[in-house]
Amino acid sequence: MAKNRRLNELGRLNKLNRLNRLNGINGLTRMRIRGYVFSILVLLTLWAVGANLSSSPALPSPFIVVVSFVSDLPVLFPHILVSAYRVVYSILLALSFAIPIGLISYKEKIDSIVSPFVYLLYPIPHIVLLPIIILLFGIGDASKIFLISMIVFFQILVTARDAARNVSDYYILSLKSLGASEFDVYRHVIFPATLPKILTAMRISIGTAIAVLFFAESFATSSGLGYFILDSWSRADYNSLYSGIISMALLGFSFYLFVEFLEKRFCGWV
Amino acid sequence: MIEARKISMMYPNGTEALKEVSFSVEKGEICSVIGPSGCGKSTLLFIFSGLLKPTEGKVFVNGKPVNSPRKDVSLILQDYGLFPWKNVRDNIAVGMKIQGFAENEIEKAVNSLIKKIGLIGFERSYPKQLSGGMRQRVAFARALALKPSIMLMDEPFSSLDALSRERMQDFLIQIWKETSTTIVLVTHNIEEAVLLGKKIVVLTERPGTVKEIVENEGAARIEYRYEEEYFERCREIRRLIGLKE
Repeated sequence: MAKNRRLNELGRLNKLNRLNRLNGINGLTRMRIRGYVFSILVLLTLWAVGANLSSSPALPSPFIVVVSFVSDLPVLFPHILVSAYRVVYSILLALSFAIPIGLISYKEKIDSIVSPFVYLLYPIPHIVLLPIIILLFGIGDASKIFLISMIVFFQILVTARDAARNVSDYYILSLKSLGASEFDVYRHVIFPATLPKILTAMRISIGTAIAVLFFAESFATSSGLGYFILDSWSRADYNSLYSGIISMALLGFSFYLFVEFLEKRFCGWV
Repeated sequence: MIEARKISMMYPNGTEALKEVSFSVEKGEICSVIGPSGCGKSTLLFIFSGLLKPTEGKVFVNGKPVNSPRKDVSLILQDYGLFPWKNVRDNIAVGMKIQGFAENEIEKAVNSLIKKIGLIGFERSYPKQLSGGMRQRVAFARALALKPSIMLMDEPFSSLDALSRERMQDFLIQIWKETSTTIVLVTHNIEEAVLLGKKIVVLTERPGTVKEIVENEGAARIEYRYEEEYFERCREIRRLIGLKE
């Protein structure tokens, strides 16, 4: 009897849980999409009104910009690819160093070595090193990728290190009592526990990476969106200028969406 | 069999947690360890599990000294020790994964454990989506997955409400009857210590020393709660701990 009742109760809870989750996700997604549509409409309206009021060639109406963006696409596309390649490469390079170093810093001994380096090197505005980096790595992709990845590296490292330091010993003991090795501790505790913070840091880094990309592509190159934007500017081709700006914005936005996808996929527990 | 021989523990910061604690637990026995808060009960379990080394003395399991975590010993921490980033299935499987069991073997064991603890349909839920009692059951399942010969439990039911607590005590008795695992259970709840422990080790305040070992043969039966002997034992323990009647 009692057992049956409990099973029933569990079944009900279970069904409720599943229903909630379904409704929750659909409802949320619908609300989110509505929010995006609304904000896009508001921004476009403000833009159109601003363009109308100023009637300056430097602020064309969104309609003209969209038309020229589409017609510019064949020329733009190679530039978008080059820029995307540089950013993705840089971010991956930064992550592949920053995450392991950040994670092993959960150990007091390693942190006492890593921390001083971070505190000395992080506050330097790395972007001023561009001339030196170009002298050392030349004007090709290597210098651009090095500059972007260095800046992103520190942002991710500082976050990953702080997050790893904050993982409670309780979880590590809990795992070790199951006979875990040092590698198991990283795999089952330190990495998953710090992943949400790392992804948040990545989101912030994407904005930084693209800003630095623009800076790095602004001279001594003839490819990439930064070049395209500055070139359009110097030719006073405002429509192309906007096409370039929009491409850069879309590049950032698509990376942003990708990180959000990763968060949904791997950090559902938060 | 577990045997503690004159265990003393002094933390590096100078806190003396345990002092010359000796007692033994027979194979297949449930032993309750009870004492006031801060008397080193949890420290004792950590030492039993091999996660901590005592400053003096030794622990023997089946005659062998314990120096590091043993594969046949499961520890259930206070607040269950579940990983918030793993769902129910992965939390239960993690111990087997670490110990290198084959994937299909893990699959089979986890499925039957989920059935046993009555959480079918919750495989993909995360700990925070579960009630306290459900989390406790997941923690049991994770420990049982490794088919341990010894289970160490630190205040396993302390954050449950009275009703879930009784249910979980019954559940534990049932598990013990099925598996005849040796269980050491640390608690500060007198009724719980008496209901479950065939042997009750009463510790003093910090630094914890053994004040008395009470034999409690009738324990580990659900009906024991209603028997005169049970109430008598509770009174005895209360007196030993120094609580006024």
